[in-house]
Amino acid sequence: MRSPPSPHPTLAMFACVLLLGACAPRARTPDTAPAGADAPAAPVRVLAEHYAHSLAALGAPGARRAFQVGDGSQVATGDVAVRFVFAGGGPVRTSPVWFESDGVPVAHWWMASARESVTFEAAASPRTALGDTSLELAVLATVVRGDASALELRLATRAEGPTFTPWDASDSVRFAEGWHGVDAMRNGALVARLGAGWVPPSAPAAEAPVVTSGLGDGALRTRGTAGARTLELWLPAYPVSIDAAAPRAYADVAAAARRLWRGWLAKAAPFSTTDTLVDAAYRAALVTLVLDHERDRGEWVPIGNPLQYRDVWLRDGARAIRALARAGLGEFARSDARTLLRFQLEPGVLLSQKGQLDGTGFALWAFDQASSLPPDPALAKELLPAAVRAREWIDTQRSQARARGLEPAGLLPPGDPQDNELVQAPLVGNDAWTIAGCEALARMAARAGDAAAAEAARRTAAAHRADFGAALARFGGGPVAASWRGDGRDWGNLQLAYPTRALEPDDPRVLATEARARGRSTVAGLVSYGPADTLHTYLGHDPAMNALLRGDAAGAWITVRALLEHSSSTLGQAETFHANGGFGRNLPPHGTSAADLADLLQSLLALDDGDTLVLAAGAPLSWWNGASLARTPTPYGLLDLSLAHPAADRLHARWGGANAPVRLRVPDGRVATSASGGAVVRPGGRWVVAPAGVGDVEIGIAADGAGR
Amino acid sequence: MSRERRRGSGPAKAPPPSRAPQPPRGKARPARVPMAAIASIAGVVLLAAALLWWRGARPPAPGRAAPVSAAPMSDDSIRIVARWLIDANARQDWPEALRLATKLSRALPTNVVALNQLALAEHNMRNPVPSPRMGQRYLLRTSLDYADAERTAIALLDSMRTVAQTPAERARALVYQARVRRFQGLPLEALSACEAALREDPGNADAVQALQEIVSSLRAAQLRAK
Repeated sequence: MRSPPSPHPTLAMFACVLLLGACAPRARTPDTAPAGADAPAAPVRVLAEHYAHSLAALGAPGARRAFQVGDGSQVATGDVAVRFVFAGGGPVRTSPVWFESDGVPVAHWWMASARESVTFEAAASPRTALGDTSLELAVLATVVRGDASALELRLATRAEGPTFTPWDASDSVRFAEGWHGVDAMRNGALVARLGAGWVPPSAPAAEAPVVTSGLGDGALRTRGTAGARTLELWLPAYPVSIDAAAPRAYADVAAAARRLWRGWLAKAAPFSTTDTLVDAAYRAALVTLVLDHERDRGEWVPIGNPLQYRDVWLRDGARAIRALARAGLGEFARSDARTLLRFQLEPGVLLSQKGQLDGTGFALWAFDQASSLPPDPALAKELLPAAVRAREWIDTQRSQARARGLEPAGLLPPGDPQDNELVQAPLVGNDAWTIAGCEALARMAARAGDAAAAEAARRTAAAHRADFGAALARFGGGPVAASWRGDGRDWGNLQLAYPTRALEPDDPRVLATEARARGRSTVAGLVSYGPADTLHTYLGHDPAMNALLRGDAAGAWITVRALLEHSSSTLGQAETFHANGGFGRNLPPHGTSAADLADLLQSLLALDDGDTLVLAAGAPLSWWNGASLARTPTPYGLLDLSLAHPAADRLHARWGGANAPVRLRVPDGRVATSASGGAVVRPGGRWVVAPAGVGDVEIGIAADGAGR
Repeated sequence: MSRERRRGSGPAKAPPPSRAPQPPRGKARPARVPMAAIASIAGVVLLAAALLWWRGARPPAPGRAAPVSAAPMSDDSIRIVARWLIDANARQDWPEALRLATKLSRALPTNVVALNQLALAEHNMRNPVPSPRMGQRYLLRTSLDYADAERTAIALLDSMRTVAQTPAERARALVYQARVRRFQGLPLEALSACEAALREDPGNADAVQALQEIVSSLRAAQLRAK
């Protein structure tokens, strides 16, 4: 557990108290808080902020907006922002934003000057009284030192610093502002209500509003009441009429938020290592993934980010589907897969953004993920017709491209994805994903009981793989570029092994491509995108997974550590960030970063590799002191796993529920010398293999390089 | 990644003036009238003429379905709505253009020009509009909405092709389909549509031009020697 650098002695003590609460060994707030119970708040998880600005998103799945908290002491809805300042001026320090240690996204931060110190909490909850996709935000300020009258609240249109504008934000930049008692009114609608502790302003009055223009501070502000210890504020996600406003006290909103999020987290398959930061990061990733969902036409829609990227794309949605399915949140994964069907056009292609011809492969792969984790033949049957049409489109593309003499022969035509590779050319990733998609369709068709469709998909995959292999010759044995032409930014060419398996993880071309991509980066374990000092958080995920599959745990951990060390104070990741910590308008937390991080962290304990279940691929020796999984979806069934280190020279792995051969990795620094229960030590002592049906293995170990 | 370039790359081009006869030259206009105004007026006249030329009691081709019942609109109203539609397109007011194109197609449900305009209006909904607060804003919320709009546009062009009564009209529908497919980043579908247009109407200038553009684009994107 990390401790943030503390800026103030009193607050240092405060932070340590919080930190100690968060670090209580094995005394974590249980994930299974009963729904409806008003369980107390978990301690705040105090972590350092690694980006130049500290901000977080509060919201709920199903809403069409989220609230921004930060940077600094402010909250924003996208239509209005509220800043908290000390009226006396002078230097002010504001902490990063933090969430609670059980992963619940209730925000905490403090603000301090030489004379005053105030702590804040903010919680968001769905509120159908305000609209079927609406939310409410409640903020509680607690005066720790000084007087509440020094605290000022100011309303503006737009938050200061990095912020977002929702798609449905008002276009107006002129506002008639006034107070109607404790209600802040703008253009006739209520945008905030003062709770206890604030001085109800008398001017400007809503009956005689002041007209302001622009996006900065307006005319609406007030101060705390002298002597008040707590001050509350309530904001709806959208401006509402006074009659429709139904504010609730902070305690009620926070309790509702905790019930909601504990309920969602309790549905996830339990994931526990002995590393509290890894566990917290995993839980934070799940929160982002769940938060990144809207509802449309009766299904869930996986969006890119709760703030500025409230849209859905195949490349991102597919990753979210895998992560959610693996996490045991199959309700989202299955529904998301149905939503992705809506991207199918008449020729059979699935396209979410013009020119992104890998969309079809991504979609087919995502359908397989949703219907295999765990195996769901009914869903496979439901998705199969559209998937078969997609495969037929691929066949048509292949034959037409060949007939028209396009190069490389038999592969997909050129595309301009308007993003990522940033080149108009035939793209390597498009073809790698075509292979992945067709092979995924073969598995899904078999699961659905349609042998003919499975065979047709296998034929297309094999043919495309053959043409793909022939085309690769142009790169020799060296790095593979993003386009077959040799140009373009690294993107799909980093996905050649995991997850497409167009090549094997130990293929020299994969290794060369990864080495070149990683070599440019200024942070070990992360890949640069564009300029070398622009780091990308999920582009390095697939190389890290390849490392795990190769048995190179250290290679995977370089990326895990880099991600944890370059996360926000709420363990969210920006999609890209500059070496100086800035992320521009691409605010964290990013959904695909969360999806890939969850996938990677879970893979350290359990990973599906074709017909084989790989266990403990990235588990260090310390994790053998109690790491566990329960009810974790795999293609082979729901996996329970526990790791133990009963003696210095013995490891004990117990697993069940997943009927597959197992390859189990011995942690770095140790080699296996013996294995029980029908398992066999592979030469080199790094891996222990067990046939299907074996679920309890004791492994004799020795220090690496001795005792064999 | 950056989503700034993800949507819209400009409006679909307004259809070229129909092959209806040019309006007769009237009295000379003052030289200072801007060319844009003249073009706008001419466009209105041509669009309205095209709509009205195809309106009326032209019997359906043998074997084709009976006409869909229409929402009545007088010839004068059609001219006015056509003018408003051209104005809306000119100022890039895509929602208004869609509303007006829908109105026209309801009045003239089997009119190829009306169907063409409606398809373009659906497609153009992916383009941004000016926003005083954001600089520009997009009209459709998500990529799912864009996919719906594109499917509708293609379906309308299919309808246009179905009700078309000459090879040139059918070819025109196919040329527009080719443009939409090209915009979607589906070059092979675009090529197939152009070739189908040329089978319908050999030598069709628009189809030839579209085909050449697509082929040039593919060549430029193709492999170069390393």
